Amino acid sequence: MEEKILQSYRVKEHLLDEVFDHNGTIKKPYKKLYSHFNKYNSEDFRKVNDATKLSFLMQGITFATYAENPKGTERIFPFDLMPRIITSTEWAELEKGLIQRNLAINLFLKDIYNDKKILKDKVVPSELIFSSVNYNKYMVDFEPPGGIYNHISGTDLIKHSDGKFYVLEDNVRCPSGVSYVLSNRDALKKALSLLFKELRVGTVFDYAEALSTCLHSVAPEGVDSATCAVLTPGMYNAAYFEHSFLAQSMGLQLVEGRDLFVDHGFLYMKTIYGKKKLDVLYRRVDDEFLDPLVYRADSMLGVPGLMDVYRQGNVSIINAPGTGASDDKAVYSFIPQIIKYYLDEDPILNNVHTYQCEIPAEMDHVLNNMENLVIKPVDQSGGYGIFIGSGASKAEIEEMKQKIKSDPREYVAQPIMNLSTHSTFIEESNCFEPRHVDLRAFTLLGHDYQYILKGGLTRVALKKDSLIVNSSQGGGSKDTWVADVE
Amino acid sequence: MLARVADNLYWLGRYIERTEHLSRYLNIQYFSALDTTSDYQRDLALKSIANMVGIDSEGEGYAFEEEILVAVAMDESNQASIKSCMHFARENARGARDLISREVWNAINKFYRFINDYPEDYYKTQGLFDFTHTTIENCAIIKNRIQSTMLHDEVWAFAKMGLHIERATQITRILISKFEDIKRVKERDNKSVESFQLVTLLKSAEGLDMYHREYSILPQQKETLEFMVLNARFPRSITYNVSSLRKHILQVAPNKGIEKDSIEWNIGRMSEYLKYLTVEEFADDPLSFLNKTLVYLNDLNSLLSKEYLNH
Repeated sequence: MEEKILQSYRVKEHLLDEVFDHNGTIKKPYKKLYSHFNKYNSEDFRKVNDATKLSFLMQGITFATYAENPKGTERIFPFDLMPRIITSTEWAELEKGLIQRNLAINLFLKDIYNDKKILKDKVVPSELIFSSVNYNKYMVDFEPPGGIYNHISGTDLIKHSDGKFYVLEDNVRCPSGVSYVLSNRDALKKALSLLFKELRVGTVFDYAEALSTCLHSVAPEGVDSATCAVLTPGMYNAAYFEHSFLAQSMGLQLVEGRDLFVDHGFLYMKTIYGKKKLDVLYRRVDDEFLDPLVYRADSMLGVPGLMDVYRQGNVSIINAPGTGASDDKAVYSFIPQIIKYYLDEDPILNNVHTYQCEIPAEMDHVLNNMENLVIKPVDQSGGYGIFIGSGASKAEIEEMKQKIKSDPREYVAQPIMNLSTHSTFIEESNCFEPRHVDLRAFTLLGHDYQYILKGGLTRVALKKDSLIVNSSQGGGSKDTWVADVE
Repeated sequence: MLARVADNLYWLGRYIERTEHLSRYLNIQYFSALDTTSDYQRDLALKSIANMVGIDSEGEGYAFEEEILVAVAMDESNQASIKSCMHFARENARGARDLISREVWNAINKFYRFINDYPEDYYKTQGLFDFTHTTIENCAIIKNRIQSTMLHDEVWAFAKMGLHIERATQITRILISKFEDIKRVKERDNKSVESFQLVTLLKSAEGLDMYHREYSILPQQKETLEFMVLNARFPRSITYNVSSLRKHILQVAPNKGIEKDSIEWNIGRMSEYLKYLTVEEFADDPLSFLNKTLVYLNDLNSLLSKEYLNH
């Protein structure tokens, strides 16, 4: 009889696998899934897999990397048919932790741009904040409408070999990926419809409604029925699919900078009938491109005068400019203290221990233990610039040491975390193999409003043994199910 | 609705319609010419195809039949080729993706994939019919989705305006092209060739069957002209499309067009003029009338762009 697809799966020693324990026994939450998947032989499975991939391409659920290929070939974000399961109990704990963390980050942002108490009390060093390239001086002495800065955040979490979740980083500028959660779910519902019924998987399709509620809740004061829009850099942006997807699912206008203008303290769109006032702008354009009058003068993506309208309180910008001052990887290491300071609570979610290279003793430790550490530039995203000591040559280590010494503020180091692995269908070998995964959880904060997307985006490092999960660097994704399976 | 997005939708409509007409013209001209033993006919057909996309068929670059056929259908560097038109149609749809229905987008995207992946070698040797035929069918599917899955609001109205102005333009160009051919044929005094040209003309607008129903005679020059220009019940006639265009402009117009020289006034005047025009008034010199119509349609496009799309 032909071998079933999961029979030859081998768990790696020293690593935590989400699906199997070390002696190869299926874990309880995955039992039903396992028996379902084992009905397939590899050929049948490949057929389902190919059909799903093709449907993504035909629907244009793609991202384009124009920098790499000027012709703009579109690729689908690789997607794996085997979902990751998180139990409802585990999720409830994560949810509490995520709310706590993001509320504290919001209070921190409000504080560093206004009273600066936490800096005066020396809980967080002021040099760390004021030296950050993302600290935005146009936000000083200003509070956004609704009092929220980080309306939308994407928190990256991993599960370590000790079985606990750790926060790897906070993304509170323009976190992306939520459209893939919804598209993945759509595809998986068609492929695995029977399982959905059995496992009572938590829905993700309330996201658009939640986001819309969140946007309206922070409209400028005095605006009854706010006009909201999504601001995109345009269709050549890698995440354009997501921008249009979000606008469409909320029934909002998708605007570009060139569609907008400022007049007498208000923001307007250019419509077929002339101007129309805009109250809430969910921008997917980085701070520095938002307004050529205050940031980069050469920006074609922003709106001249936007920051002025914002500071007059006549438009809400989602997320607020300047939130980057808190998702800096050096600030990240202070989040436990930040939570304690503002909420007087112990952090529910763990941080990965982080060494600050600008502290001399910590830099020494880093320089002497390069092989066991991950070195990260504090202000990069997308997995760029990450250095993993265990896989580096001597020359590469030396080069990195020099970089750290010449600019200690720019780098932090963390122990190499053993991200858990998950069974993932690998096309080249036509079978399931363990691959490292992380989890991006999406939190929304509005005026008296909190929401967590149930499940989030599981990202997969498709290259064998790689720890880098970012889509721009060959990562893939999985649907994530929050289910009652204990 | 954003002016930029209205522009996207208007051009989406234009490019879909253009793709369809180019494909049909290529298909009909090429395969009709195969039915004849006359080299002259085949030469005429080829020139006529090149003419529709603005390629200079006398020029050196297009000495071979194959090259012309590739240039019209598949050449990405030729902005007027079918492949380029569909590329532009999809880019315009992408720019308005949040406003059109998923069904419209999927139909466009799927079709774009078909065109984009079509193997050029196969096209050159045996794929011309398959390529053009599938293209025509897919354009029909896309237009059906636009009609049946979108709100019939101003978003839809701009797509429809693009569609009708493009169709009126393409029909006018087909008429000009064919009546020029007929003129040349007449110079050679060949009656059967003239009737053959009228049949391909009507087929190029998918109008032959309805022509027969309307007139119960073989295609004649005057009747064909009347049918394609003035028939108010035939959806491919110029009059029908100008009147539809007027309807959609009035749907989005904030004022209903009493101001002199406004677009609403302008189209109203043309529409009424065509309603009471008789074929006798231009049958003696159809080319002069058709060329004026083409200029009018271009002016209307500029007026529409100025009024609604370029804010």
